Amino acid sequence: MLDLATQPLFQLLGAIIVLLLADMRPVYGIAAAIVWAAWVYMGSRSRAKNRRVW
Amino acid sequence: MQAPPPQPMHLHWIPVEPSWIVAIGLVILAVLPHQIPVAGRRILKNWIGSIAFAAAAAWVFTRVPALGIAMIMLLFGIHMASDVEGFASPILNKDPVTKQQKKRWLPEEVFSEDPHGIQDRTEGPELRYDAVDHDKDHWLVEDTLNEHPEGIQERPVSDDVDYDGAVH
Repeated sequence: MLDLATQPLFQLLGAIIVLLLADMRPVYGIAAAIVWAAWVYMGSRSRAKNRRVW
Repeated sequence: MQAPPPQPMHLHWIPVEPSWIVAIGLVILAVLPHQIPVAGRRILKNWIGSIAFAAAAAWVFTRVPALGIAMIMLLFGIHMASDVEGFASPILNKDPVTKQQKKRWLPEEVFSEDPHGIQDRTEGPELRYDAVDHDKDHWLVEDTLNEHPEGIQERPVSDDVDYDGAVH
C-alpha cells in the first residue's frame, strides 16, 4: 500500500477521491486530505528507507 | 393556475464546473511538483509564501471546498518535493555559485542553465566505507597500474532525492 503512495498516478487518484469527498461534504474532505497527506508522507519515508543505490 | 413551463436544458460547453478543472490541475501539479517552475516552488516553499497561500486556500475553502483542498494539497506536494532537478544532489557541499558574478560559461548561456553550486561526487569529503589497509595484499591490477587506493568509496546518494517518482 505504501508503495502505491510513491507513484504519482495513485497519488492523483487519491487526490481526486479527496476532492470528490470535499465536494460532497467539506468536513469529509478535510479528513480525507489529512489521510491522503499522511499516506503520501509515509510512502515517501518508506521509499527513502528502503532505497539501495549501487 | 397554470404551472410554469419547464425550462429547456442547455448543455454547457464545459460539462463540469470550471473550479473543478482548476482543482484537477492543482492536484496534478501537487503529485508532479517538479513540473512547477523553480521560482514558483521557491516562493511557495518560503514560509511567507506558504502562509499566504494557505490563507488564500482557507478563504477559497469557504467558497469552493474542493478548490481550497486542492490548493492545500498543492502546498503539501511542493513541501514534500526536494529541490532536486535532474540528477543533482540536494546537498551542495562544495563551491556554491556566487550569484553576483556577471560572467557565465558559454554552455550555461546556451542551455539557459542556472547552476546553484558545484557538487562534489560524494556528500562527504571523507572516505566513509572500507578504508584499505596497506599491509594487506594488493590486487594485481593495482600493482600493475601502480595504484595505491586509500579506500573503497561507495557511491552515496542522499535518501531524500526524488527523481520525479522514478523507480530505482
